Amino acid sequence: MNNRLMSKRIKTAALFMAAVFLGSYLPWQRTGASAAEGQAQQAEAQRRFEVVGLGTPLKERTGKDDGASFVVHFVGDIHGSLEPCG
Amino acid sequence: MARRVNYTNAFKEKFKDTPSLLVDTGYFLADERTTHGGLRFDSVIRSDRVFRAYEQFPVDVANVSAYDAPFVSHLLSKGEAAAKDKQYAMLGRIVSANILSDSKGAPSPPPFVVREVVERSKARQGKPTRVAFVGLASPEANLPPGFKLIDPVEAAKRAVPQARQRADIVIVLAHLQTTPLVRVAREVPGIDVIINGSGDIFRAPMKLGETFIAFTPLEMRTMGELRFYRDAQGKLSVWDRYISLDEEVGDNPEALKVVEAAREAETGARDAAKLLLDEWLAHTRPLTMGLKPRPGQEHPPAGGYVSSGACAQCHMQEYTVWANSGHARTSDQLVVKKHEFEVSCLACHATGLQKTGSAAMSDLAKIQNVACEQCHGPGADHVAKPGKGYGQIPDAQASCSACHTPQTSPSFDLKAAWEKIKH
Repeated sequence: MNNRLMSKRIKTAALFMAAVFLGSYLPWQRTGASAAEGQAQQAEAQRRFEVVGLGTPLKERTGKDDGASFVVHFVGDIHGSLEPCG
Repeated sequence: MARRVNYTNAFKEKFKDTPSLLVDTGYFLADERTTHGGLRFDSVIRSDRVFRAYEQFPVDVANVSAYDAPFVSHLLSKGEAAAKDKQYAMLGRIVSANILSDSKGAPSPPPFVVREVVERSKARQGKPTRVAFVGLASPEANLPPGFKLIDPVEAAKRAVPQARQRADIVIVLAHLQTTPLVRVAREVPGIDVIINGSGDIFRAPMKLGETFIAFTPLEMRTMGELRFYRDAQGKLSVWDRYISLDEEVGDNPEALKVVEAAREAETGARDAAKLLLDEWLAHTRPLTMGLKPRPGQEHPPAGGYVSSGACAQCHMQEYTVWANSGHARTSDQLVVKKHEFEVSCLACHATGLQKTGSAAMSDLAKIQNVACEQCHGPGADHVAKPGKGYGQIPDAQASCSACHTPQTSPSFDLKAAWEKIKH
């Protein structure tokens, strides 16, 4: 892998992790929830989601068969573009 | 999209017994508008391609946001013809509880749709589970004429109980700002899950009361996956996953062809429009400027139009008024806003357009700007045989309002405008 590609991947990973970090903490400040309620909700949310990718092969990204009854995949905000980055 | 298809295919292959649905929370269509508020031609092309792609690589339900409304209304106003058109079968998969049609010609999208899945759970004993998807939008963009947007909380209070009666699970697909989103979650009972497109790159899920809220990641760099579980008592729980769709996921070859074709259609149409404008400007320049033909050449046939320069030979006072008015510079805007040029612009930014649907040079406007002959008619016969009877305008209001519509000139005042150009 050349340096440019590696650098691009590192930047993408850093941006993604920053977005995950901010996205995990900021929403609570905007719900009108009390501090205690917010903390409880935050802890609840941490148990309820995971982010997969960044070097994980496709087969592993689909995750384990954990007995889910059914699944809803969701996308949005593509703004009329079928490209990966809108 | 090509990576999304690769991922969902891999998922279906691995989880053969687990039913899955794919939904879109809104703003999936293009919404670049023209200066006058209509959808730009390249937006129509892009949206059309997305609709076709969502049909070919099926999206089960899509929420209509305010940004999607212009293209959707464009299709809905075509009525049954568009619905029957195979490429627009997606019209049967869109939802919105709060974007409503005001006109008889175009129906409203349904407030919700119900999809059935046969869960793997033993608690359901093979009985199909009905999942209702309700659509909600924020007033983030101007809706097209004939449509109105009602308060999302009030709309949810109406639609969710109806959906609840017809389904076992209610999922709201929303494109809402935080305040209405929280209000919907807190004030509307009966919602199991809200999936909201907030335009953020990433936001963690949350739970408000009994409602689980997941957020759609921006664009197609990441996709969301909600896994539903049943415990022995049949109680439902949710696990939210976000899958990065980076280059390691790879592109599905068939989907990639669709993406590339969409890209080519869009850029091709833009290039063709720019080229057509350049050719038209070059073609009409000699007559517009009153240039004499070079030896051995003649002006192209101009359909009886002679240009304002010819009028000036006898009507200098009127010509001077016109030359100092905005009408004498209307084609300048075509160059400034080249990126939104289409032939129909020439109907009001030039003189003598023959056919709006044609790109043939012979059918296009003969002269640049809104010249004398745009209102008074072609003047060649009058120049050849001057006399009274030419150029009367029976209904000035109708003549002006053909171009100065509420959409193009919202503050147009005929009386005040006439004072500026009277001659």
